[in-house]
Amino acid sequence: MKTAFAAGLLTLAGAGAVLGGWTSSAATATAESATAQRTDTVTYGVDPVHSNVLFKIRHAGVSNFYGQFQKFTGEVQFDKADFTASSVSFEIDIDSVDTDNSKRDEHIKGADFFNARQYPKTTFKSTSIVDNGDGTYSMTGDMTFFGQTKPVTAHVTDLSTGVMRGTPVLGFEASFQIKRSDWGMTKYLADDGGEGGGLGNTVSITVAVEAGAE
Amino acid sequence: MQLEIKIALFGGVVPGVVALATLLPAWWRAKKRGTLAHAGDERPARDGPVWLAPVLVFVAFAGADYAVNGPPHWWTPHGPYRFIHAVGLMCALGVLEGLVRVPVWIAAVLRAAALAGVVWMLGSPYSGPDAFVPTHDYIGWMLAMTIGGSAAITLADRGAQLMRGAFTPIVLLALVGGAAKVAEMNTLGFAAQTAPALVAVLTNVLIVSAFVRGIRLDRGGVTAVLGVVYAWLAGTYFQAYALSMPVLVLVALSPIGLACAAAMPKRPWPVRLGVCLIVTGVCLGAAAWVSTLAAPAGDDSGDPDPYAGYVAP
Repeated sequence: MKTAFAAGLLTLAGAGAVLGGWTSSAATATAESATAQRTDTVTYGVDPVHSNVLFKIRHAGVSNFYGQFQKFTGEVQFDKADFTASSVSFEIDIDSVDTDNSKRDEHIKGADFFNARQYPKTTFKSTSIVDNGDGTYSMTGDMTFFGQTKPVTAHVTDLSTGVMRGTPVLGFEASFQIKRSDWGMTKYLADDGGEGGGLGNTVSITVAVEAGAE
Repeated sequence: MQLEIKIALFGGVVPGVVALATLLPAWWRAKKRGTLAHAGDERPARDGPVWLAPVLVFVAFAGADYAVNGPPHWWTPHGPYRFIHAVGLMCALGVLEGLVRVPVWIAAVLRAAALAGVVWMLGSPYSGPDAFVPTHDYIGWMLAMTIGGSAAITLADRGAQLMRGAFTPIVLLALVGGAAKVAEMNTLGFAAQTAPALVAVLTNVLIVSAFVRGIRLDRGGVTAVLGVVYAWLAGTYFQAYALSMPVLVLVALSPIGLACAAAMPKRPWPVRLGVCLIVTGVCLGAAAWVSTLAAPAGDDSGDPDPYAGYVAP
């Protein structure tokens, strides 16, 4: 009699433990599922080795001159289901400007142009992404350059995702233009603010991004 | 208008014409009034329109600055665009020196204060706890410029006082040319682009000295010209990529060349001029040599560097 009672108690305890565990797991799973549904974005860190930041400016009114920045960091909060719900942040080290000529690099990042010692970083933080309907996007954000923060809109193309050595990766290319005079950089500017001076006013910027999931 | 033509016109030709058109009649009138002392004459005399030179220096510099940077602003947060303000301060002091005769020590104090303003204008955007120039370096620079710079300008002004006519513009032309070249070697291209403005004014002082032997640049002119040079110096350190500190020290010492004239009052003027030019040349030549040694090496590709002779646009 006592043995049967004890066995019954043990059985009930065991059933209770199993039931409790299952319930807890279910609750955790539910919670995790809920969490996953609430945060469909995944953080991707920009891979500087496979990304590029390029700029183009008119020189002497006759040619296009190209340069790039070698040091930058960035992050993409990527929503795979809806890219327009994603966000992008970027930071460029102005001192890393590279025009394939060390003397020119020193001149460009000095007082005459980028003034890197006063403004060592340029940053961008997206505020909205709009689907253009043709496979491209318009990404608007706040760009801080030359000590000022202004909104810019970049045209985003070639958005792709994949896997590289087991790590999810994504890539896209963003391009936009600015008028350097709008930011207070007026050296060698033509009188009419156009492209005919020693250096043009319009600067075209292209950021080719490859980012890996973190 | 092409950039080079713009710089030549607004930073050279126009200031030169304005300088000649104002200096010659102003100093000729003073000469005709018989109020000028001749070179080497130690008698106190009316000084003539000495306030005119710093005005012309500012007008010339403003023209060059406009050609390079575009229209100026009353004030700007951007350090490289504050040169016009720094030079304006030094030239304003020069005008004050020309209009009001003050004891040497007061003039030295005023120069120190103005140089402190120059350092603040050109250096403060780059200084601070987390900025490129630590606070203690900034304070050190402030002290060095105010004390050392004021002393150098005061000594140079004394030398210019004793040697009038063509003497001072010749020495200052050598100083301005050499200092601008050294600053450009240390990546401050702006110095090379604004130097012709000073050359235009000094050259016309030299021309007028052929007609008016008593023309002088002390009590204002020296302060204005050396003020521009020290502004270049501050810009080279704070804003550009100065290659080494000894270079800056050598340029800062170069006005002592003009001061040498005061140390040899009994010597014939050709000897004094020669010594002044040699001392100025040694300082700036050494600075250029050190800049060459400290310059970064070229690329290692082994191919000829097409930009070996790169010059700022």
